[in-house]
Formats: sequence, structure tokens, C-alpha cells
Amino acid sequence: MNKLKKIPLQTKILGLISTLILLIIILLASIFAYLQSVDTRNQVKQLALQSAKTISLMPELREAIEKKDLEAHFRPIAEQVKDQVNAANIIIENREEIIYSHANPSQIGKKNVDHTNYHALIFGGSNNFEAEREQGSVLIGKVPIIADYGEYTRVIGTVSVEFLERDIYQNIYSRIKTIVIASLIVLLLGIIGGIFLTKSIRKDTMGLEPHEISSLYRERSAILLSVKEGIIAIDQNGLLTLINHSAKSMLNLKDEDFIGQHVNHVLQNIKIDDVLQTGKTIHNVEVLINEKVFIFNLIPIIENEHVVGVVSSFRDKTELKKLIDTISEVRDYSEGLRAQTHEYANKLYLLSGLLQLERYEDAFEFIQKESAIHQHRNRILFNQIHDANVQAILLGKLGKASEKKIILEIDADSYADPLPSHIEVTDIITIIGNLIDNAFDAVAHQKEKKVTFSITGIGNDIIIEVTDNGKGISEDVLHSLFSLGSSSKGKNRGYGLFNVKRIVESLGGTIEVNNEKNGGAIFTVYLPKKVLE
Amino acid sequence: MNGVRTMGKKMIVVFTLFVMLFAGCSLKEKQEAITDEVTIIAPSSTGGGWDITARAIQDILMSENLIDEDIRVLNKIGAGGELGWKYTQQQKDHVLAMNSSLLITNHLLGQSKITYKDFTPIATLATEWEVVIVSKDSSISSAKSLMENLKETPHAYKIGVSPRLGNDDQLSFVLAGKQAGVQPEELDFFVYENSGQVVDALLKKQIDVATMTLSEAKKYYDLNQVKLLVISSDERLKELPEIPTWSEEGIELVFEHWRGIMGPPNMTKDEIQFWDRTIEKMVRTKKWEQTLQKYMWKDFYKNSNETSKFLEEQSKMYETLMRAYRED
Repeated sequence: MNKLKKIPLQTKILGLISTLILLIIILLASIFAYLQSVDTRNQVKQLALQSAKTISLMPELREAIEKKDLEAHFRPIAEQVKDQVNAANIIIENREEIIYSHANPSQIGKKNVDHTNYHALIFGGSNNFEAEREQGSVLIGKVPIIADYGEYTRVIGTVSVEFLERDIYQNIYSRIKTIVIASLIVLLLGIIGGIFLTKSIRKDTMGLEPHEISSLYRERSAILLSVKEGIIAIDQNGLLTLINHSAKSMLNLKDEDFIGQHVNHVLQNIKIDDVLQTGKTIHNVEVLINEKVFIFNLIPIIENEHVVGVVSSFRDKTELKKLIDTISEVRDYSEGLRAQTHEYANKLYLLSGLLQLERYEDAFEFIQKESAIHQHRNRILFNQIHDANVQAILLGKLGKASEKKIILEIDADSYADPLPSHIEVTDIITIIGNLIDNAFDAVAHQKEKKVTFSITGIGNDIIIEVTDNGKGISEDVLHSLFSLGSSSKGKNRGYGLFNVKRIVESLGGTIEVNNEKNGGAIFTVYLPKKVLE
Repeated sequence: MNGVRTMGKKMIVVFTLFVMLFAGCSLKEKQEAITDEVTIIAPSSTGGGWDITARAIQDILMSENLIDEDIRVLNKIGAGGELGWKYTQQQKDHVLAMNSSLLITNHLLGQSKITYKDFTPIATLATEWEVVIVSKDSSISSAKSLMENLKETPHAYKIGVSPRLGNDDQLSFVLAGKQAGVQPEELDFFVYENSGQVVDALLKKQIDVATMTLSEAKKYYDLNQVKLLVISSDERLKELPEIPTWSEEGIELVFEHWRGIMGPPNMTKDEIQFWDRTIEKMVRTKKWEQTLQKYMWKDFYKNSNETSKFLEEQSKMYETLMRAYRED
């Protein structure tokens, strides 16, 4: 139903073109007709005056008037002039307004009662005017007959030449007819042109009607807004035709209109326009932009075997890695807890064995020792660190440490209130988890494996410190320690410290690294408790 | 030192050039717009109103040294002024022409394509009164009886006018006739080339009555050849206390006939200003005053600008006057 309401492009364009041409034609034709009729009327007026003047100057006329015998002497001449100029009537009157010559013989000899002779008879003036006759309205040119008597001149009568308006309009109509025919030809040409124009437009729009195009456009905009991936498209000249919101925010671009700019001005690190030359699809290429890694897909738009543009979609690999890291961290905790449970079960087996062997002293001593360790550790963990997330992380790490036979010592002076809300769980997991894991890695090959963790939140900053007794960090690694891909752990690693530094800095804090005198490294993180303005 | 000297020389040259330039300018400014003999066209024969006016102007301008150049008056006679005006229209040099309402009426009557717009108005000079005359021994005793007779039989008298139908002489007579109830289209007008011929015709009884301006009729009146029946002024003139006005004859009519002077189209501003100055000086001279008195004209001076407006008004007025007769 809705489709029926929408007028197809062809009808629309043809309708518009025809209406326009028709309007112009009507307008022009009426202007022309008007000018023609004014012009023709003026011409007829002039003709009437001139013929009347010519007749009035004929010497035969004066003679005839003086002899009062117009019928014999002058009527043939008047008739001849009348036929030549196609006039309706030629009237000749004398000074007393007695009609001497008239198309209608019955009028001859009568007095003219029209009262149209003032101008001519008094002032000798020539003039044009209109009057009503039996045959219809007429245009009249009236001139005086001025006789020259040598010493003086005198008005001795008038000559009127009359043209039927009907005849004039006949003339105009026949001219207008020609215009109408010419106009119809123009209209026909216009319609043919319109058909070609529509076809050409439909070819450009791939047969789509305008309303279809607009709904496609709306859908595309909605899709582009909703996807999390960044999408950029360029045309064959490398100019941006499209960049969606996600792309702008991922690339830290200002929210301005980049459409029409060259892609290389906006994105320096990746030559999207190279695809214009090669025309080859590129999948999953990693590109470093603003210290973030993006995974790009570049797909050429091919039309008639020519590359007419490129569409590129991309994701933030750093984000992806962070997510994966967090998941594996959580998995580590469950592993650690499982290991702890296992260790605990082992301890219970040991205890039950000692009791069955009735070695009560040993059993009691074992319980005392275990309890002391737990009490000490739990006292710090539960009485001095009041943040549940930090507790959970540390519990997990403790399990992992005991599994790896690493001594993870929580500094006895540690003290922390619940962390302020602007520090997200994932942030603190990334910071503490990565630092402790790195420390674990650093001591993995030491004889005595010891890692110390301390957290203090007494002043304005939360200070987290992780110390290991590993080899320390060599001078040449120190400067690139926090950059992406810097890792001693092999390829595709090295996101840990990069992420830590990024998060610390985003929270307005700082991170420091120092080597201890006896080998080992100290990582210190300062996090402000208040959100940076 | 050398450099300074050359500079000094250059300065002198430049300075001299400037002085010459300014001197040239002021010289040019002093020059008058008129550098050659001036021709005034009187489109009527000697002794006619236009001719008298043109010769008065010539006389005063030259005798009072208002103009350095020679002035000549050229009579271009024919077709009620038309020939003279056509000639003026085609001139580029210093040619002026006398005019009157005929310039307007000729066009309105379809007798001429020339209008007042085809010329540069320079001034309107004077008006004079219209009179009706009969021969000394005519049986017509007064304007009143003349009109009464014409009302009875419009063909009773042959009326002489010059130089053309539709001029103020005829128009004033027709207007008076209209008021008296005469059928104007039946009046029998005889048209002569000039007022002299009209008077001749009057004297040899070719016509019975004539209408013309006072200055034209005056000399025949002074010669005691004609009688003046009536004058178109609002009251009797001091100089001619014996001539009654139209209102005294029972007809409410006051009619002034004006004359002016104009130049060819496209006159320069300088020329117009020159003539404005010169004519204004002329109408202030004693001699002009005497001329006005002699011919019983009335001062009606208007400068170029005012004349331009006046002609426009007059054109409208005559158009309504003449149309009124046609549509009655």
C-alpha cells in the first residue's frame, strides 16, 4: 500500500518537466500574443491613418467635393483603396458632416450623427478611435481634408478609414496558431528529453527509487552507529566518504567532519589508499596507532572491474588483550584456590596420619605452626587491608605462590581502606596482578624465591609496592620497560606493564621502578585517592 | 651635491608642469560655452510673434553686451512652426528656436511627430493676450453679438487664423464659442501663413473675423485698419482701456499665450548654464521691460529647469482641453 503512494521517479521527473515546459510555453505564448495584438493594433491604426491621409490628399477628392459629385468621380478610387488595404469601410464626409462615400450606399447623402469629427473639423487633427458598427467594433483612422486655396487653407471634410477588429483578431489568431504548433513540438522534445534524463538517473541509482535510497541511507547510518568496530570508507581519490563514531573514538579523533579530507591526513600509519592501486583484500593486519594496536581489515570496492573505493573495519587489539588477560587472571585464581584446597587436604592427611601414629606432640606442633602462619597472614590480610578486591587478588596470588614454592610476603605495615570508587576492579586486578606475576616470573629461577607486597593508603596516595629478589632489571631494558611488546617472555607478550602504566596514568598516578642493592627490583605505584580534575 | 642638483632640476620641471596644467584648467574654465555665432530660429515670417520676440532677444543681448558672439535671426517658415523646429532639432551648433504651445498641440493633433521632449528647454519668456479683430468697417459691433450670431448660424462668418489650426489663437476663440453655446465643429476657419495675410484677407473681405495675439493685431489697430472686439485678459489693459474683456461680453474666459526659447536636444550642462545666466540677465534689462511694454506682453520668465516642468504641465493641460472637444 505504502509503495503505491510513492510516485516513481520517472513519473515525477516527467510530470515536473512537462509542467515546467507547459508553464513556460503558456507564459511566453501569452506574452507573444499580447505583444502581437498590441503591435498589430498599432499597425492597423497607422495604416488607417495613412490610408485616410493619402485619400485626403488626392486632388480628385477636392474636386469631387466641390462638385458635390463623389459617386461618379471618386467612389471607384475609394473602393480600390479599400480593397487594397483590406479595410472594412472608407467614409468621406464634407464640412457639414454629410456622408459622400460609404460602403453601405443607403448611408450616402445622410448626415453623420456620430459626433466623431470635432478633432478633425475644428483643429484639423488626425486621430484614431474605436466605434461600434453593425458588423462589430471597428478601429477608425480619421483625418481632415484640408484644401489649399493659395492664400489660405480650409478644412473641407473628413476621411475615415475603418478596420473591423474581427479581421484584426483573425490575423492575430492565425499567428498564434503557429506559435501553438511550435510550442507543442517543444513540449514533445521536452518529454523525450525527460525520458532520457530519467533513464540516466535510474542508471546512476542502480534502479533504486529515491525513497528506497533514502531508507537505505538511514539504515546504513543506524548500522554504522551501532557497531563497535571502527569503519572507514574512501573513494577512488582517497578522500574519506565515511567514518563512523566508533572509529573516531578509537582513534582519539575529534568529533568533527572528516568527510572529503584525504585519508592520509587523518590516518598516517596505514596507507588505506594503497589498496586503491593493488585492489587486494587485506585481512587482520596489525597497526600501531597512538600506542594502541588495531587489527585492520581492508576491502576494496570493485565496480566494473575498477577499484572505486576501499572500506576498512578495525578493532582495538589492546582492549581485546586486556579482556583476555582479565579472564586468564580469574582463571589463575580458581587454579590457585584449587591448589590451596589440595594443599589443605594434604595437610589434613598429614595430621590424621600423625594422630593415628599417636604422635600427638608432633601433631600439636604442626597445628601450632600452621595456625601461626595463617593467623599472621590473615591478620594483615583481613585486619589491615579492608578492600575486598585487594584481599581476593592477594588470596589468589598467595595460593599461586605457595603452589610455585614462592614466598609471598605481605608487609606487616600494610594498611588500606576500601579503594575509592573511581578505581575499577579491572584496574586494580591489572595493576596488582601484573606486578605480582612479573615478580613471580623474576624469581622463578632463584634459589630462594621471595616476593614482598605492600600497600599503604594512609596519605593522599595509595602506594603499592612489589619487591622481588630476582636479578633486577638491566639498564638497557629499563627505558623501554613500559612500552608495548617489551617482554622477556617472548613474542606476543609484553602487554602487562604497558597496560599497567596506561591504567596508572589514566587514574592520574605514577609508576616507578628501582633495582635493590642485593639484586631484585622494586615496582612502586602511586595512585591518588581523589579523581583528577 | 650632484644628486641634489639633479633633484632640484627635476622638481622645477615637475613644478612647471603643474603650473601649466592648472593654468590650462583655469583658462578652460574662463572660456564660455558659446564660441561661435548664435542662430535664433523664428519659425514664422517677419513680424509674427516669434519673430518679434527673437529679434528683441537679439537686440538686447548684443546691445547690452551680454554675449560676445554675433547673433542672427533666421526665419524658417512653414507647417505651423514644424519646419523651423525640425531644422533646430537637427543642428548641433549654437542654434536656438522660439516656441509656444503649438509645439505641444501640433503633436496632440497628430500633425507632428516632434514633441517638446525632443528639445532642451532654455526659458519661458513672456505671455500675451489673445484678441478678436474685425475690419474697420465691419458690421460686427461686439464680441457678444458675434457669438450670438455664430450660435444661430455657425457658418455665418468666415474666421481667419494663422499659422495653423489648433494654436492658441484658435483655441481661445473655440473656448469662448463653446461657452457661448456655439457648435465649434461647424465654425468655418480659414488658415493663413501669418497674421499679415490674415489682416489682408480681413481687409479684402475674404474673411469676416480673425483671432490673433495682441502684439500681432496691435500694429494694424494702430494703423487704424482693424477693430479689436475683445481681449482675453482678466481686466482691461491700461494701454488699451477701450478694449473690453471676454467676461464683460458675458463669457468667462481668460487666456494667456506664452512664448519661450529652446535648444536642440543633448545640449551640454555648460551651455544650459550659460543660457540660464544670459537670459536671466536679459529679462532684467530696461530694454526688455520696454519691449514687454511695447508689445503689451507680460513677464513670464522661467529658467531651464522651471520651463521643463511648465512644459510638462502644459502638455497635460492641452491634452485634456483637446480631448474634451472630441468626447463631447
